[in-house]
Amino acid sequence: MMSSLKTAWAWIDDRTGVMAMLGPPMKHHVPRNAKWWYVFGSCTLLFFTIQIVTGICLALVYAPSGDSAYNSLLYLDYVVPGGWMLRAIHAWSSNAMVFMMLVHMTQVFLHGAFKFPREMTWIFGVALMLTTLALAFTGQVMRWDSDAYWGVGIGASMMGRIPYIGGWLTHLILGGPIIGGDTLSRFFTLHVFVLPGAMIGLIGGHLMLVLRHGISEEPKKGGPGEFVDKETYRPAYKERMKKHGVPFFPDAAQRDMVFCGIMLIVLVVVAAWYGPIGPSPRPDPANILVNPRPDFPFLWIFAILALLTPTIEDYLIIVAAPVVLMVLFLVPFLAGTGSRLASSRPIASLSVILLITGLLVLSWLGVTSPWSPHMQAWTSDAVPPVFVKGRTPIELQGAIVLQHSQCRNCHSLDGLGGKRGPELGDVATRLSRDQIIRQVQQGDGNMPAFGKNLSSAETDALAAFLHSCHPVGVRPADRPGARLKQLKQLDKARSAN
Amino acid sequence: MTLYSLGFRLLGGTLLALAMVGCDWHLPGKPIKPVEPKIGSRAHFERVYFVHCLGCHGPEGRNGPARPLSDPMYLASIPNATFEKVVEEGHGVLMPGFKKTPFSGLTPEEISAFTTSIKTYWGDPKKAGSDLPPYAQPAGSGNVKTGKSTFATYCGACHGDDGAGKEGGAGSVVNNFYLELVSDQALRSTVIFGRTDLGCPTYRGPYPGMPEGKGLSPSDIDDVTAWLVSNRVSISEEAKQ
Ligand code: HEC
Repeated sequence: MMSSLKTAWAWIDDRTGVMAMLGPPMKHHVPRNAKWWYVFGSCTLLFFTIQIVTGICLALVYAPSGDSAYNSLLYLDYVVPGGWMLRAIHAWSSNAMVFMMLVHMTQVFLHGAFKFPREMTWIFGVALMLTTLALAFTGQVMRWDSDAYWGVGIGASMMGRIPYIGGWLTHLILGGPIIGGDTLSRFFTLHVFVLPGAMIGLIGGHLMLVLRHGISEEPKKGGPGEFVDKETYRPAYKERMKKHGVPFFPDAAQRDMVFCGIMLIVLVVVAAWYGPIGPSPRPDPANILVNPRPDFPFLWIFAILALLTPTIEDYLIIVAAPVVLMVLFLVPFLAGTGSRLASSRPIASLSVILLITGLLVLSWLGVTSPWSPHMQAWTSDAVPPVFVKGRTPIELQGAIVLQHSQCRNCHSLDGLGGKRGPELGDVATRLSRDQIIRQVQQGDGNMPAFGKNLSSAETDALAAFLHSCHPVGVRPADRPGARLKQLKQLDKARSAN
Repeated sequence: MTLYSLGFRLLGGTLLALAMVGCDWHLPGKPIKPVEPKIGSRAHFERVYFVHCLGCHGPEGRNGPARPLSDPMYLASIPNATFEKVVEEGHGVLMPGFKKTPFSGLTPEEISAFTTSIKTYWGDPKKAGSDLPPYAQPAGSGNVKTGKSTFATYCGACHGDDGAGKEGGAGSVVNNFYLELVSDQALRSTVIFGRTDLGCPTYRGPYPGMPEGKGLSPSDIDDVTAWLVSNRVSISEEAKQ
């Protein structure tokens, strides 16, 4: 039995040359001290492989059409045996892949492994990072629930702000002027054909480059390869590998295998314990707070968008984001030689610390701050009866306009509704009628301008209603434009200076 | 034990765990199917109302800014076909339609179940009484001039004789913007069914200063509605002024 298998294998090897092809890369020498720091890249690859396998299985059932996508997920969850686990593994493995990729990048950056001659490896890596994030984002859209809707909406509005091509780009991605059934088809195509294809190509390139230049040694004070010099680095590295290196297989690969094995178990346990992510439930009385939030890799972006005013956001999207990306791509050219030791690269170490802290804080804000809109407020947060009693007909119509214009996605009445803007139940004590109208028409800060979307009758009714919103016994701010005048005077004084 | 055998054991463990899942054990992460209320049940009706109507029509179908829906007289009067059409396509300026979309909305079956259920659960033929005036304004009916004086007689006590509101009263019903936002039918419905939740009587009264039991006749209703509608300034006329 064994011997006939061996003969068969020998035949295959002889006719295909598999071993001759795989031998050298498997046996290529890697530094002896390349130990547990070097397992994160392989682990990222493991998670990607899991994504492909589970993704193919999911695609067998998933229906990429606006009408049935959501239901096909429920079908997977409740009907297909083990379908929920497939979804859980796909979702958690996606998060794990993003996480592992960031750990891998941080390790490569801190160890200065991107320096000469491995610049292209880093550039492929950054491209892989973008592709991974794009896969995570488009994957979240596949759920086609309120999170997806909200995420696509924000993404589209960000893209729409790019000068000249913004509108066209948004149209291209959404498959129309608004989010609809065609949007899902576009994102599905990206998620299962375009991006994975790009990913596989990029991974191939990345691995080829890793083989070409070898793995860098862990930098140690006074150790080999601590200093990168364009003249001497390459021959010296080759020499060291010949003398002290160990073959990748089986010496280094065993650590990869153990780490990947542990991570695989962690993944399965997490998936079995926490189950699939989403789809967020359809709104119903038992679940009042449908608070859409993006998946974790994007929480920080959404937190930034919630915290800043639209003008600053414009700069961020048009100027800052491309600059940051450019810098990321150019890292190996900005610091291509010199010491690889993290302790002798204070700027590099400091930027890693700042970046990680910033991302963590922003993500935490994204989780905790009440910035996300209260999507169903307009139809399911009642206008509290105290705001209805004793109101005139026009004021009642104003309350309907308030619901209808979805103001309460951001604003609460008596604490009920969104928390992004101020409570409106006592707005009349702060603003005069004119100021309310101005706020509604022109917007301010993080409040969109509604001028174009509301007729004058609607605006008037809205102002009438809001001006009736004040606690009993407190007089509303009656002098029309009182604060406006002060503001105008302030403006004048400022421009005179 | 070498690292290799450890690696293989770990892989084996994972496969075992996956096999367990394949047998569909009740692991903590397994989603539990929520019980969907059956279309036509009370739970389904309440859910549809909660998700789609509550914001404007008020908790329990009253005390909202928009017309109360738990009003037996109103429910007895509105024809089913009209009701379904309004829910599906919306009506006037501010009532949105709730046709099915990929994200929300109601299927035609859900809508027709809803309009039936609301009459079952919130309607009350006994309370509604008989001999209700027609829901829609009969074509060509209503005398504006008589309507004006009828309005002054019955409604003037709260809304002012000219309908423009009154100090300490219930506010204007001839405000241009108000009339721009409400439909003719909404005006007629308010004349017939009032806003009993907010203290505005139905066509049967009691009207302030009027004897108990004295209310509007069907032709009075037509007249008052016609007069209210006649106060509407068309946008093009407004632009001329
Ligand atoms: C996207 C969220 C959002 C929506 C939707 C929104 N607002 Fe606002 N609104 C805000 C924010 C944020 C502020 C605080 C403005 C600032 O930063 O100066 C605000 C402020 C206001 C204020 C001033 C409150 C005060 O006390 O100073 C009024 C009045 C107001 N909004 C009315 C409305 C109305 C009416 C609508 C619906 C037509 C509406 N808002 C829709 C976010 C929103």
